[in-house]
Amino acid sequence: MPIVLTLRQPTQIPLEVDFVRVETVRTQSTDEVKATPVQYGNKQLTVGEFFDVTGSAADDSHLVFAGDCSRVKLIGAGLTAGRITVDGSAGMHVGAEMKGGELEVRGNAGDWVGAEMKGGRIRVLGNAGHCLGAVYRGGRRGMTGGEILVHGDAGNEIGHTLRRGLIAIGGKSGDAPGFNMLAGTILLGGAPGIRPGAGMKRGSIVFLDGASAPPMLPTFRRSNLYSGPFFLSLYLKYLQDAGFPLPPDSLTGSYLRYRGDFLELGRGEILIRDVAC
Amino acid sequence: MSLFKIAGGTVYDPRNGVDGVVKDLWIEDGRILATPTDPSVRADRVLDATGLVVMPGGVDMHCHIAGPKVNVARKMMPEAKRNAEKVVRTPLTRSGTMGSVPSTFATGYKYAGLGYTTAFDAAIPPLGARHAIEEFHDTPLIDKGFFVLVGNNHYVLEQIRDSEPERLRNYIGWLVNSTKALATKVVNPGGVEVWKSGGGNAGGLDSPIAHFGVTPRQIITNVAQTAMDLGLPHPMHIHCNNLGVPGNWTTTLDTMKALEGRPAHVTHIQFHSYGGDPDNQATFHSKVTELAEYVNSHPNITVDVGQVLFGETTSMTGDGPLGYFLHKIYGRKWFSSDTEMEAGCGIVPITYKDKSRVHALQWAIGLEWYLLMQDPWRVAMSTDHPNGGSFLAYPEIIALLMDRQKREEALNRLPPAVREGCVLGDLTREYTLNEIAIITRAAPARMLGLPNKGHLGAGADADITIYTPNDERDWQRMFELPRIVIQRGRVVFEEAELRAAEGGVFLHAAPAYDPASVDHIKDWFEKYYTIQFANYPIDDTYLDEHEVVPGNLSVDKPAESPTGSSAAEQVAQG
Repeated sequence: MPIVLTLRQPTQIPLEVDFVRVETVRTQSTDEVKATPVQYGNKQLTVGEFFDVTGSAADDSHLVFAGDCSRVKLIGAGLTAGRITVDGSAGMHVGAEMKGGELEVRGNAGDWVGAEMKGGRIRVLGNAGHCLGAVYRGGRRGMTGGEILVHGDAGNEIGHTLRRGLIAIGGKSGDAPGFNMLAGTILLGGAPGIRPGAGMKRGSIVFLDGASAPPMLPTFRRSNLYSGPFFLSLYLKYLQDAGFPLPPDSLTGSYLRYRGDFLELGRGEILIRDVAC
Repeated sequence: MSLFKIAGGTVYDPRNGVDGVVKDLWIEDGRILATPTDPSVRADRVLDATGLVVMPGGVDMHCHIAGPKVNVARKMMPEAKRNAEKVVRTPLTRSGTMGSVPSTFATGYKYAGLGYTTAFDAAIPPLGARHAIEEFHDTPLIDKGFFVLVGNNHYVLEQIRDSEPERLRNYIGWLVNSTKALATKVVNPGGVEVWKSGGGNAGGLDSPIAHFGVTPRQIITNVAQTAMDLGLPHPMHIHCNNLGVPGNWTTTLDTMKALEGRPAHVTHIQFHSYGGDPDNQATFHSKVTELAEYVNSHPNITVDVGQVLFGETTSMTGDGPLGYFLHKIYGRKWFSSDTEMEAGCGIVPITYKDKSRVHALQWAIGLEWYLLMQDPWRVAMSTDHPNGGSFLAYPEIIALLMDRQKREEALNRLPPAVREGCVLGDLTREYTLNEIAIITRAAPARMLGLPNKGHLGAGADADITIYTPNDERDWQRMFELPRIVIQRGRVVFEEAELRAAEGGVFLHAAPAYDPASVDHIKDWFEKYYTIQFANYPIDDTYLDEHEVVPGNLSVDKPAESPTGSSAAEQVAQG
């Protein structure tokens, strides 16, 4: 039986819940959980002033946020183990810097989903905002491990300075995916924005819907036509098994390969599903 | 007026020849008082310092803590701020941020908490002086001031070219008054101008600088002479050409020879003591032995070290081409700026790694400087904060100097090749507490020409740090957490907590110059600057509490104030 934190009424003022940690609440009584501090705008208040708390995570290490949490920030930030489910929408920085465990958002998520994430898995069934799996401003390394699967759309700068790990977006995506990325893999299902892979050093960006792929930057060079790259088929099989919505016939077919960004190291690649096949 | 007595402490006051003597200190009105001869005099407050070590407050003579470049470095590295220790607001103190470049208030708090009560920013472009002073308003608990950049200033270069020493002297006199600086600073003489006018750097001391035709050697001798003639409290403070380049030790030696006996302070000399071939890193090695021999035998020269410590930090410098050089080496983000007729600037984050032979040698070269200088009065402790490391690392350096075994252990953790590139492994010298008191307080205060700092004689500012010694010879622990810090007679830090959050006096010089010379400066100024001449000088109303540090001329003429406030008033403040 999970512990359920139900937000009594939606808030316009952001509420930061980074002190609500699965690792802690599973050992606590309901009253102790209610006494956990939260940041409400510029005030420090407690969980109990905003949420009804029921159940216990002692057995299954499962924490559920219910109600309209679209202004609740930092849900699951720094998560190391256990499960968090957001039964609705989540605010910004959900799963930021998490190291392990599982986090599922059943509605939409705000910006900075899994920013600088190190491990674990995040799944968003709705849409996600900008800077998903990105580095925080100024940093040298973004996401360094784990995976982020978004069934819906996502915004700009997906996987900014990505270092390792998998990001998959089922729906539309914004501009500059894989900006400055160092390594890792980004799979984009629906219609993408412009300037993919600007400044990328290594790693792969894959457009599963070739018909809507954007023009390549002039600092990328066309390389060859791949017929079903092996690593990609493994990823796609994995995603299919995980119930991720893939475009039809993704598992078969050829991909056009571009190399870049030659303004940087130039050892990255962008794969575009070949429409002709 | 209340009398404050610090009773029974073991006092280290090298300037007054007190080396570990148990004695009382009397304080009145923020100053040290001569011990009253009348035994019936009773203090209003007595602090029992029995068994504790009492020293003057620390003096950091070369750091970067205020002004435009420091602020850019703060903004440039949000990632360092976000992951650093937090400075949380208390009922007494403000919140702040750390990282290698702490915010203003945090800088003041941390210096005070370390037992440092005076610090000087070493490189302020004249146009940035107002900004630096504004940040100093928000840097509490320490007395502070800055050196103004003149080594690549167009007016300076023109007067040297035209052989106009009078004009040069009057200009620098006027500039020090107008910016409220304490001293003159020369950074990579001529090299920054070359960089600004199209890239590149100065070559040797005798290669002419584009557009001006003067050489770095001429800049060095003229500015050193001018600082002397003006009787500034501190002589020319010079950052030599070719910083960080293997083989640069010959440039450093040439610079010191070019002084021809004139007094000067050669700063962060660690970065200027490298042998080897610039194109082959494997040849990089220490040349401290050779340079220290020269400095030891030339009493006109003082140095501070610019010790490197391992970890993340920020290189920030008025040396524009150096910023570019570091950016090309490390590939990290880079900021460069061009301050009109005056100066340049480069900022690059840098990580010193103990696995790197070059970095490890830089660390060793710094320590060699402390250990090979025979006269501790001519070497000051510095990390060139934050360039080599944070000022918060001073206790670690003290421990390395006082404990040979600790030094040996540290050396053993470094690549073995380091021992071949330096003589650190052979140096057995251990600093005494008295010598530490010299290089961290008494010597920098004397070099800066601050008569009331760095000692505990009658009339000195009552800046006092009291440490708890321990039996384990753990010097780092002893210096990291002072028991009590007193700034101008007030207890500002006690029991690991700040007891005050405000105060601190701005220190500057006011040399005399000929007011008739200002017309020529004004004509030149109005031709080139982006601001109005009248808006340039900073007047006294812009300063909080401040003091004029007296000059070192035997007959100290009253200064002509650039802003019309009476000269007599300024002298009175001194």
